[in-house]
Order: sequence, then C-alpha cells, then structure tokens
Amino acid sequence: MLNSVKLTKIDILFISFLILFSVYFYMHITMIVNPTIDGADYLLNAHGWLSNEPLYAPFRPPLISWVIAGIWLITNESWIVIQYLLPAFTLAAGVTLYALLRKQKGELFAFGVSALTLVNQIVFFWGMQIQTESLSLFFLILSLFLLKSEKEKHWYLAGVAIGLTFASRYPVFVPALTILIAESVIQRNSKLVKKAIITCVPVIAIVIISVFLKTDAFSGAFERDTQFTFLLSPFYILHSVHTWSLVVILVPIAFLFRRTYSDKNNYTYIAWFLVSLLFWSANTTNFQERFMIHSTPAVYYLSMIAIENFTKINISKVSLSRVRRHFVGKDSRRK
Amino acid sequence: MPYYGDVYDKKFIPVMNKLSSLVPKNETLVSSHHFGNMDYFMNRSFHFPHGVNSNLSLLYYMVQRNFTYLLVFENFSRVEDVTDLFTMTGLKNLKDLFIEIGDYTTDEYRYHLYRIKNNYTF
Repeated sequence: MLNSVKLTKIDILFISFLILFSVYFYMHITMIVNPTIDGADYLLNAHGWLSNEPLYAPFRPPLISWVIAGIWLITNESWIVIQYLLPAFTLAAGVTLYALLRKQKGELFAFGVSALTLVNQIVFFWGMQIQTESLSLFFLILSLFLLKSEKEKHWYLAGVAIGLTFASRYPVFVPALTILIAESVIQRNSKLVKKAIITCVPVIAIVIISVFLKTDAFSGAFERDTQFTFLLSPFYILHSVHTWSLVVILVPIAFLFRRTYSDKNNYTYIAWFLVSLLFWSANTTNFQERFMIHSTPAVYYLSMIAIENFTKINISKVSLSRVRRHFVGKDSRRK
Repeated sequence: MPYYGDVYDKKFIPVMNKLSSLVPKNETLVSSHHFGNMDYFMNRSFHFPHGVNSNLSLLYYMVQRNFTYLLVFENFSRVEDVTDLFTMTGLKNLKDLFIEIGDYTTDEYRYHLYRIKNNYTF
C-alpha cells in the first residue's frame, strides 16, 4: 500500500516537521515528574484491572487503563513507562489527520491542519499527560479516516474505532456519532451506518459489561457533570482565542463564503465543530478548555477553508489589468 | 478550573515516599484532603473526617474507628467542617492530642503527619 503513495515535497516537509515536533514534544515530556491526579486514577485503575482489587475510580473510562495494564504485562508496573508511551497517541492522531486530509484536500491543506492541531497549546500539554485526551483524539480521527474509505470492510473498522472513542473517553462518543451521521448523509449511504453500527455496538457493550462485572455498576461520570441545560454557556466562545489561538477568527469567516457550503465534505467538519461546541456549552457546571481538544481538528479545518476561499476569490480580468496598468504601466512610462 | 496536580513539582514524589515510610502498611490515614496521585505513590488508603468540628471530636472520631494517623494539608481542606482546625493557628492546638511525626513541603502544599498521642479510649 505504501509503495503506491508517491511522496511529494510537502509530504517530506510534513515528515521533517513531525520528526522535529516529536523531539520537542518528548523533550517536554522529560520535564514531567508526576502524573496528573486523573492520570494517577488511570494508573490505579490499571492496577485494579490486573489484580483482584476493586477499581480505584470506577467512573473513569476503561480503555486507557487497559492499555496501561497491557503495557505493564510486558514491563513492570512503572508510571514512567506509561508517561513515555501514551503520548505516542498524540503523534498518531497528527499523522492520521494528515493522511485523512491529504486524500481529501491535498498535502498543503493537510499539513496546515495537522501542524496547527499538534502545536496547539492545549493539545500539546494534555497530549503529553497520562490522560484520555490523546487516546480519544486518535480514535476520533481514525473513525473519520475509516469512514472516508471506499472499501466497505473499512466501515466495520470505523465502527470499532467509534466504539473505542467511547471506551477511551465517554463524551467523545458524541462527536464520533456526529461524524458517522454526517458522513452517511453526505455520502447518501445507509450501508455505512449499518456496517459501522454492527461493530460499534458490540465494542460499547463489551466496555459496559466489563466495567459492570468488575464494579457491579456502570457510571460514566460524576453526577454533577451530567447536568445539561438549553441556556448555553458562552465559556468556550469567550476562551476560543486562548484555546485555538487567533486562527479561530477565521472560522466565522469560513461560514461567510458560499463556497464553504458547496463542498459536501465540509459539512462533516461543520457538524463536528458545532455539535461539540453545543454539547460542552450545554453543561451546567463543568467548563474546561481541554474539552475542546476533540474539536480542534475541525476548527483548524474550517480556518484553512477560510484561507482556501480567500485564495480562490474571483478577481475579474478587467480589474486585474487595471491594477497592472496602475502599477506596471506607470513604471514603464517613466522608463 | 479543577486542580490537576503540579506535574513539574520535583518534591512531590520524594515527600510521598517519606510520608509513606512513616505510616505502617494497612494503616488508613485520616486526611482533610487527598488526591489520586497521593494514593498511587503512598500506597495507603485515606479517610475523610466528616462531621468533625473540634480537635476533641476529631480525636473521638479517629479512636472510635481505630485510626491512628492524621495527615493535614496546612490551610487546606476538602471537608469544610475541619478547615479551621488545619489553619496555621489551628494546628498549634492539635499538639495537645497528637504528636507531629512528619512535616514536609512540596511546591504547593505543606503536609503535617500526626499520630495520636496516647492510647485514648472513649
């Protein structure tokens, strides 16, 4: 499969960027001397899954602890090993995003979105930690990558990936489901949904049953975090520049171009961004910038769409020649 | 913004190791607060003293439940009732009933570890 991919100059530029970024990323990881509090919960849960002891924090999604437990089966029970291995999912998310957009929008566009996502300060910081952010971001992007595939068997795998977004971080199932629905509508392909659901449901069932068998209950979050309201909080709009940098200003501009709506592929990203924003803004108590990590690729995609639209603005030949006459003409007359 | 712990605090793990070396295994620590990373590095269980509002009631609470060790975050408590007991001035009064066996500081917190002074019975 790799033989059929011809590397372009931009591909090589992206690979070079990725190598430099990985070095910089892992240099920062060496400075981390403690896991986060949530990270310690996942480590303790992994110990619980490996032993007969009860789970320390049973409301935490299990996939990350299963990954940790799997690594610990090979190594000893060290948090440092996990600290270095888990952030690889952040890099994998960046690579998958590039591969997804390269096919769809070309190398330069893919490079822009992937690089902006990886260097985003919130993605960067939380992607380094023993947290579920990087794992779930990877499976979310992988879901879309597989849904975009023309091979039908990949749609089964897309279902597995969607199920794994649930297993890695329960609320990320919302954008994953949004992407599935948007893609089936865009592609006008009900088979896509059916095939994805066939594999997605068993994965989710396995997660719920496993947690239930281990803890005698299944709880996806603290009760206080599951309260929602129609009175949306402006928190994420107010913190948008801090979350996504000034690039986010391009997102509303993208919505002003008619061209944005003429490409059906854009609808998936529009739905992905809007549903995530609405979902987290509807929570009554818990607002954190890191919750927007999973909509970051969609935000930068829409920003790049705005730039793309700017570059494609039709300037008529008449107005171009007037401009040329204005600048070039004057100079040539002087000569 | 919830607290996630200082991932750059180099003193945290050494302090946790020192504290756990002072508490026998299988002992539960009564504490006004604790985080998952404390459980992970100390490998001890923690218990919040609910319904306590004075040093004497704290002692009573601990003796009744057969707890011996008390871990205090100076000036910080998750259990509102005991906040006053664990301020800098409040801690001075604790010395009548508890022996301080450890006093360690990380970048963010100062931890005091106490043991009940005598074999109290109620």
